[in-house]
Amino acid sequence: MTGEQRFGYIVDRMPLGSGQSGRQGTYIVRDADTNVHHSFMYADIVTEGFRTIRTGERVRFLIDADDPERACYVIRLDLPDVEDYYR
Amino acid sequence: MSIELDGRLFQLRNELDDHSRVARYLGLDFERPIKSLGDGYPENAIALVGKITERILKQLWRHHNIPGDPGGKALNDLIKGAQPHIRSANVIDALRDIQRLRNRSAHDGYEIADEDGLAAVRRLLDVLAWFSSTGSGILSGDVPKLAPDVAVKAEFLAGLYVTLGFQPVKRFELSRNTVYQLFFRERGLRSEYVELLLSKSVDDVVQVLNATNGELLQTQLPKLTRFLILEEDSDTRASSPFADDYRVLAYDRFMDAFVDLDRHLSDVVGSYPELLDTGRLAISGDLLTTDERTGEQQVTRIGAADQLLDEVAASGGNLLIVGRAGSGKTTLLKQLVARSATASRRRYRFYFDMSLKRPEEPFREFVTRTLTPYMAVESTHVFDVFNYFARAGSVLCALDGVDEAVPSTTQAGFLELFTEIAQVLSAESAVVTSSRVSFLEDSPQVRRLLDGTALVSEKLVQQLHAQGVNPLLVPRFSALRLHDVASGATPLERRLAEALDLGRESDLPRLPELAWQRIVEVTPSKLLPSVISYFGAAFLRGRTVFSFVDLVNELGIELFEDGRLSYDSFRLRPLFRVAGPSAVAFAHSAYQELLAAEHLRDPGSREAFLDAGPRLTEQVREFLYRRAEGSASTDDCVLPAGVYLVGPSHHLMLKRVERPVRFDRFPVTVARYNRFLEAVRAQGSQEWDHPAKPAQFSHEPWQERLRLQDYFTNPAYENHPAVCVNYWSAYAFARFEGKRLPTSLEWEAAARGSDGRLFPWSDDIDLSIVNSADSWSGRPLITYEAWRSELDRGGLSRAMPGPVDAHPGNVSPFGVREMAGNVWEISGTVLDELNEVVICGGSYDNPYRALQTSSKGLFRRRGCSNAVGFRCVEEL
Repeated sequence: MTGEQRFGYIVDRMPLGSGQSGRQGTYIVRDADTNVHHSFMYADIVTEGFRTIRTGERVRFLIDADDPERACYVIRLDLPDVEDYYR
Repeated sequence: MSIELDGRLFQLRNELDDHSRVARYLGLDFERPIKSLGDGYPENAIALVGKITERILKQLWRHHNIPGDPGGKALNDLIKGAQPHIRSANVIDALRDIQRLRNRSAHDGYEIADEDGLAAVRRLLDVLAWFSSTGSGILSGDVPKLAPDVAVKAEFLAGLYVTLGFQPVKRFELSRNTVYQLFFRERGLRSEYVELLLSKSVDDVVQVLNATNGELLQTQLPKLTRFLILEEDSDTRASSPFADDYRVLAYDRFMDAFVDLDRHLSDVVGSYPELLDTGRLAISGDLLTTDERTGEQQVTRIGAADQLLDEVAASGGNLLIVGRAGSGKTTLLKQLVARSATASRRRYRFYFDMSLKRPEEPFREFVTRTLTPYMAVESTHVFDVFNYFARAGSVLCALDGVDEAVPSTTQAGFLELFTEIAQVLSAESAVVTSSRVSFLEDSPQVRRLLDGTALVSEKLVQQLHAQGVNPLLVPRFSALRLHDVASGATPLERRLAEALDLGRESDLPRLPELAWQRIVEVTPSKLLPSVISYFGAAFLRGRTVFSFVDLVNELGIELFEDGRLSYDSFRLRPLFRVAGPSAVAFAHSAYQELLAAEHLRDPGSREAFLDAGPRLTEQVREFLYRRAEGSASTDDCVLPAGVYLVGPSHHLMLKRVERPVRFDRFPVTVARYNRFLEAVRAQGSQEWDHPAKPAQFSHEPWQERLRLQDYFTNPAYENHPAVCVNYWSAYAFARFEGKRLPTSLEWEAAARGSDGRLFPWSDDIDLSIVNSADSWSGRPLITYEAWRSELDRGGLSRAMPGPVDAHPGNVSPFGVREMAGNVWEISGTVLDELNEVVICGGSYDNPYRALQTSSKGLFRRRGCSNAVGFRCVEEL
């Protein structure tokens, strides 16, 4: 992965195509500065917890140094406040 | 144009004329904003001031060689980039004011008044005045005649007096090594003058005076304070060529005129934990550094934390130390400050015990209260002078236990405190901060450094950055995580064991037991209940300092021997330290956190604090669990109504479960779900369906998504959890059985019980009783990085849900089984605006951190996953 962090928005998601036997989601992020699209798989979402992401979400990510078309180390920025999980 | 406005514009124009050299050097037209104001277009004036400010900031950017091209940057980004290189808080405020005015002016719907335009020009003048007053040539291009090292010192001294409210009156560069500066301010009806003569040596000064026949020092000015500041210490002992009214100081000791360093150090060393011996604390750690140019981060192992701190003190830089309670952070910082006596650099060192900051007290007031006894400036200027010293890097600043000063353990609380503290961080500062939690932006290296243990939420970090608080963007910032003591006791545990005469035992109890033994030993038994109640409740309210009068009023005069209100007569003295003339605070926050935990064991106390937003730290939670360890549990799967401690470690809360419910002992199995499907196939599902369920969704599992295509048909999986069913189906299933889905609160309360434990069975990791990524891997993964590495090498390829009754030890205090791991469980808590449902507990696919009782995720209501199942509850 390259050092410079990028900001972008999720513009598309496909329910299948990644993970073991291809049964996990694949996602597309658009770099907010360059408008370049990068794809990533569910395992690139940084969390120890549940991995999913919504279209339209804002994320921070790195670009894969070996494959610039791919995003990696994707961090979700628009998660609700902790209190919202206890309504 | 009114006569009054005309007069004010005339005044501003005159003041701007004083900066004509800056205008010429940077190619600026200071006349245009004045003309726009005169013509009745204040919005144009503000836009022009904004442009001028951008040009000034670009000049600063290039002068300080700040990474990146400032060319296309907006005002906000220019301020963020230049801020670490500006010593004056007033200049930073002025730049922010200009930005605010310009943003408002550019926004449709805001009416811009003449006053706004005048304010913008006034703040621009404040920026310009700083640079001209301090003799800086950055904006004017002036090259001083002074030797560079003398020029730097003259600039620092001028900045100090400008910070104190003085204005420069005269400034003469008398020779390459000697500069004369005269400052003036009005204090009410009094005029104050300060005269500074800075030179390399007495010989230089004598030479200059002879050349001017001594006229320079002849003055009729009243209230004159006169300093001769010499670069070389030995010269200050030489005979002065001046009259007695000159105070002669070495530059390195000039701050003696403002700070009583010896007394400050004496008080720091003498307060708990007292530095009784000079032996250095040997603690290792991992250090995160960031390359200012590339942004690349690196983690390296540090053998001796104390040596690293000495390097920061000598060379400058800003360091965050993260470590567990009792890991030695305070002793490290105090030893660092105490070593100032033998230090060659930054001998002025300030130590702040952040736990003594009052809940509603702004950082500014806390600093003022702490330093006023040691500083010879008016209290109104204490913070400004301290802030200037810190930002200019002329002092070392140790902020100990910043997490203990967070007004509330919420995102807003962290944001408030860290935004305040960030004021003192600059490119030149030497600030060492210690905390039990980090506030660093997530990155692979930060995660590696912290092992995920001390991260606060990314959302909080983003908010901090939006406020301009991003420590990783502060030049020369690094973070050190102290290694946990793998075997043996922490420094605090050793200290407690010594006090309890357990020092030689090889198998010492850990902190909760030791601290509790110490409290019980010191506290008279009849006072113990009220001590728990009073100090425990006080901690939850954010109160850590207690006056003697309050203690007598609340706990009685018997707390003091012979009725004498003094620290020496205080019966609980071994647990406390002095925190003011007639006040005390706990010697270590762990004592009070332990009392808070003990207080919270009482359901009535939890009830009392339900709506009070209590201050709940992870340490309180851990103590609560440890103190309750071994308490009776039940096996009927009934969650009683009551108030429970819930939430992740950085946001712990008290929440009430209103009514008792009985949980399914196990997650819903394939066999149970198949019975539901048979009923649906026979008679439809309308009577059980959620009223908002979209018509197109059936309750059949999503076959395409299922990893094992025969999962719902092969009898081998009958006792496995039902997966690949969505919220709508889980909801209908629950109604089919006459039950409902548990709320996320009920789920968490059932998992962690009344003692707030981390896992359903205890606070301790046990890989043998949980279906998680770690158990499939055969080793603890814990964090994302370890999980990802294991995934990429194929170590998790066989991971899948297992039988719901496979782990008898995976049981909650109420007898509910398999809550952690195996599958996430859909709750009945829905975030309507996102159309998502809260899921709980982690799955076979997650590393250990996600299996905690507080672990939660969000899932689309129509979403299906091999890792998501559910269970039901029935109301009683």
